[in-house]
Amino acid sequence: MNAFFHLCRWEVRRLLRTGTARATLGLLFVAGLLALGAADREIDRQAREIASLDAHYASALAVVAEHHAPRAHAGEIAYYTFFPTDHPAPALAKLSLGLRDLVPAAVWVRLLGLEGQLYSSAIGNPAIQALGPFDLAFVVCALAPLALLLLAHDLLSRDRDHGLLPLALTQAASLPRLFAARLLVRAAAVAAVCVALWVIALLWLALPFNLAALAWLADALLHLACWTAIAGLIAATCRSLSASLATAGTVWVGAVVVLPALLNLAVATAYPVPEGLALTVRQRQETHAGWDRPKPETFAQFFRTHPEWRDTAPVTVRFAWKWYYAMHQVGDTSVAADAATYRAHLLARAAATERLAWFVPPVAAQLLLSRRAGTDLESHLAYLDRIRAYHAQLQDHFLPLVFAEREITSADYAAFPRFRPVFSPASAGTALERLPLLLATFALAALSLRAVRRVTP
Amino acid sequence: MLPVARHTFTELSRDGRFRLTAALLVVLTVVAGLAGWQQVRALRAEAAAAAAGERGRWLNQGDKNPHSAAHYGIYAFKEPRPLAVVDPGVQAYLGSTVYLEAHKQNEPLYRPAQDGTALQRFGDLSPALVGQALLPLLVILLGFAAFAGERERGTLRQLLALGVHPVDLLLGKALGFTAALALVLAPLAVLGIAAAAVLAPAGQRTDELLRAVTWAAAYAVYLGAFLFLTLAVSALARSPRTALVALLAFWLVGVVALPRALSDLGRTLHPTPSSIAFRTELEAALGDPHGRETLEAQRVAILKQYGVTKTQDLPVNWSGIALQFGEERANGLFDRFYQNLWSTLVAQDRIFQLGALLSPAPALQLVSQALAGNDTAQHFAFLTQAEHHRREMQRTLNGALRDSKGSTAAFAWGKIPPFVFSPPPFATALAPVTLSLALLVAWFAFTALLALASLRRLRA
Repeated sequence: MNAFFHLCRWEVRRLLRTGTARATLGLLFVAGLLALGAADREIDRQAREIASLDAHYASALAVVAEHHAPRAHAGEIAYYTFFPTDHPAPALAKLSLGLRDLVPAAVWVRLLGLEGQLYSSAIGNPAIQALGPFDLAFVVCALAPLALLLLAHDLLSRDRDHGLLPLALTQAASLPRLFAARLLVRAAAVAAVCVALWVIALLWLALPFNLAALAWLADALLHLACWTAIAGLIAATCRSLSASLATAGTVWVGAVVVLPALLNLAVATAYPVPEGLALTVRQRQETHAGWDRPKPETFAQFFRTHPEWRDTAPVTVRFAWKWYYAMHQVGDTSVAADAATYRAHLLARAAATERLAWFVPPVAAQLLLSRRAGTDLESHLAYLDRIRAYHAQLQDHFLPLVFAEREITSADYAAFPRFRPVFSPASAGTALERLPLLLATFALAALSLRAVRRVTP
Repeated sequence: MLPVARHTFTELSRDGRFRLTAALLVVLTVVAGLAGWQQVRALRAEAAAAAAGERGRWLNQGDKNPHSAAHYGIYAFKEPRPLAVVDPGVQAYLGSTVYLEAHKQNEPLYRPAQDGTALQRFGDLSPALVGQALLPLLVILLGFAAFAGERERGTLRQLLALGVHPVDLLLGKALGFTAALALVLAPLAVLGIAAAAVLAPAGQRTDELLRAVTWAAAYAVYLGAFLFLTLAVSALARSPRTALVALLAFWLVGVVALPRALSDLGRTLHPTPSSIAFRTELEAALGDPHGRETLEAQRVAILKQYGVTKTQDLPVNWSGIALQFGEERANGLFDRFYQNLWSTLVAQDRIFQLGALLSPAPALQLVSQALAGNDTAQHFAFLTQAEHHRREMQRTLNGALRDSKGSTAAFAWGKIPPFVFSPPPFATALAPVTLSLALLVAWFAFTALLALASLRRLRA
């Protein structure tokens, strides 16, 4: 063991003397810092947006109060009021943005039909969104494997090309031992850069040091372990320097660029989700068709979901707020099944992605890292559910006032229900989630061990 | 020069690795193209069905107050463009439909990208991705040893001793590589031209074909720049390995990292306003009570014009006039707010354009999207046309309401034409990316000169 330790120390010194290795590790580090900065700015921007909600809400309420002084029908006040909801980014979002730059961090809701309000997007530059976020998760999933391959693909082929392999072997007891020392040293160097970036993130961005943060790092390192096995396999099987370089390049482009894009195409083709558009259009049509529908018909449908108002007297005037809100609720109810289908299809798509990720380590890692950070699709869907619950709460508050034809003054505004954001609890995840990456790592490690045993100088 | 070209080409066509990689890339291009074709057709059918349904509903509204119809509104759909087959651009990140209603300019709805999974962020596989990211890699792998390899083997000295002029050597090799690359580039061009020929509506076929041909030419220029760069580096480098590492580093920084860094820089320099701030400020401006005073002044003026004292006595329906007055006041606000928002996004894109000084990739990306009709500028064109349609529709409906006094005839809904998006023609589409186009050509010229200049190092 002591001999192996000395061998490793010797390899570390050798590695750090080469310009290419220093440049590779340095560039990886700089890319990581830039990524941290980019993600930090994006999340801070969202935090500022969320922080401004209260002020916007207060000033909007002041305008409503001014226009409806001294008192006005509760239905009218509700019509003109926008209620803020927000989805604060979990702390680790600064490590992996996930979907955060696509989906809104805050949504205003009104007492009107909800389905048409849920699918608004964050204002963003489409050309920029299409590139995908630049965050530490991207560095870990895409760039770190490349750095590792660049450092480790030529473990043996370089010395062999130069005819130095026999000489190098005199330093070590055996070829597998030399191979292991060299591979582990290079993997450790890349891992050290990643750990350093993680530590910097924790200190610089003041992220909480907890189990989830540790689990994030563990997942990132697991992904690197998988790539260490891949690098080992390439180094052990390719005889010449140009062959190992070409193979490493092909494997990286395949795993990071081509396969994920190909899988994306396959998932989108196999699980089309046309409901998103159809749902929005239908909800709008259903709600507006309410204007032409006889009022008793609208109420009959409304009472089916809200039996507590069954005893309301028929509305005979041309317009009444209770009829207006009943009409919107009927619009929502009529697309409820569509909304459920849409959601089910989104989840089916996510599940299919997860299954396919078994075969592509960077995708598996991307999934794990965005789940650790709570920036995945599930977390956004959970936010939509909270908005639904809040909308129901608003109805519970306003409908009794509206059906009682109550007028309210600005003094009553303070009693409006407010949305309470939920900070998604940091979770360390389960062993099962990591099974694909673990299995891939073990399988590849076994293959490369077998290959190393067969290598001849 | 020609013997060198012939030799280079023969050598490549016998190289098993080149054949395998080229075949893989061709398969990838074709798979991506066919999938894109299928997607464009599905999206188009969806949009057409939805638009036809909306039109039918609109025409059969029967006896209804024009203003209720205006509130009910109508959806404007944007059909996918033919060249989305080869470059979907930002299509998935934009709304493909806008709701047109009374009093309000809405934001486009529903972006398919929101339905994405973790995979989405790795990018969509499209022929454009193959051309922008993978083909340059193929060029590098083909050419990195062109001079450096011959130098290492000692054959370079022999060739020069035989009296082959270095310029002939360079051009010959470039020609040979070009011939080999043309085989891989051809499917890309064929796909684009076929999509334009088959999918374009009759009136736009010539325009789309022009776009497709220019599109393929832009990729040829881009790959040409990479080819000369590769040859230059190969001539300058001490060993093939150094050449390869330097070129791969350039690819990684210029093609993979730079676009992301540029987008971040753009957002930092020109921050996008938050949706919340945008909407509340707009709502506040719309709700400005000042509007009521001006409306009142307008009422007094109209009463004076007709010489009556009460709105009921007017020969026209006052509510039509009042509604149109409200529309026009709001339109001015919409113009101001949306122009502000869009100019921020354009400023961000400007940073991206300037980034092409560092690598040809951002230049090609923008030119390619613009030619395919899937860039931000042409999305704004769709939104502008939809908004224009909305305003015309409101004007007609409010006019009908104004003149409806004493008449009970139902409004002829067919008077409002269906919305049809007419994409900007070729020259208009290219105008916003002139700088990118110029920089792309400049990269080609620069790398060609660099390659010529590097020849001086050959004898060393």
